Amino acid sequence: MLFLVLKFVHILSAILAVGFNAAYGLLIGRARRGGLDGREMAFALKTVKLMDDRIANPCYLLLGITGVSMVIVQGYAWSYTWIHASLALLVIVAVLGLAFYTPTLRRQIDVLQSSGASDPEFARLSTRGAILGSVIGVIVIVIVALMVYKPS
Amino acid sequence: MYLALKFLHIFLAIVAVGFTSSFGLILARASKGGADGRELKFALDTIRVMGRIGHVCFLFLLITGIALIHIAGYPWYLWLKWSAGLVVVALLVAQFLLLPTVPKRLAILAARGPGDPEFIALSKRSAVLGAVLGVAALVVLWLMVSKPA
Repeated sequence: MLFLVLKFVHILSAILAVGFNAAYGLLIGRARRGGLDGREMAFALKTVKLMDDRIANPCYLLLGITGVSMVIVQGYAWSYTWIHASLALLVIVAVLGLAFYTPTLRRQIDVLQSSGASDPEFARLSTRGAILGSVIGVIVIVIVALMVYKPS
Repeated sequence: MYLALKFLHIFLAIVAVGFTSSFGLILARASKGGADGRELKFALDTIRVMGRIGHVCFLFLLITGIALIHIAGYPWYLWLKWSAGLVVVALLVAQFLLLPTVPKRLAILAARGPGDPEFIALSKRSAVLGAVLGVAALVVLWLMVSKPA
């Protein structure tokens, strides 16, 4: 029963974390077509920041905790490629997210509020955020593939 | 073939449920926006697009789920019948009750603003339906994980 509860929380955390992440691109992408005063962009960036801080990042943390707990409860060997590779990739996602994506997002909001959406710094930060988001997205897809295919 | 379909099935679940779970938060933030309802308009426009993507993903989730049962040769266990049934009900509720409220709300918002009683009533109805569908998604997920015979 404990394993099933852990698995349920693990999958739910994955759905929320990755699903929310996937929504960021669409929200920000659509906001680019908003008004010249950048109100839609400010709303989109602040919403993404809230989604990231309150839902996605805590879910990634829960994903790691429940993943490690399941390995321990089920007695899986850490030597399996799919287990140690996915854990390593999750750590990389966490580092990219917390050390690079979140500060970029925060800086984007600051620059937008102080200099507007036409500022070259804002454009540079937007490109950086989009690249980081894509890289994180690809890594997450690889993790899901590892979970499904379970290569030993 | 089975693993590729399973991967696709899980990926679709992530997009479908993950996308739709974010609607409440996006709309809650938008409702605290300017009195002219510009943030609400943007949020509803975006949700309309995300809702369509989510809806297509739910449809393919059902198709890949049935294909997985067929390929693996599973009998139609009770948990499979219940989860497939719940997804069908959720799809119908979304198609006929939830999704049509978005363009309607957008039209009311453009004509009469976010303070309009009909806009508020429709928003409340959508929030309740969204919560019900969220609970249904949790039940389906639990059935998938626990597989009760």
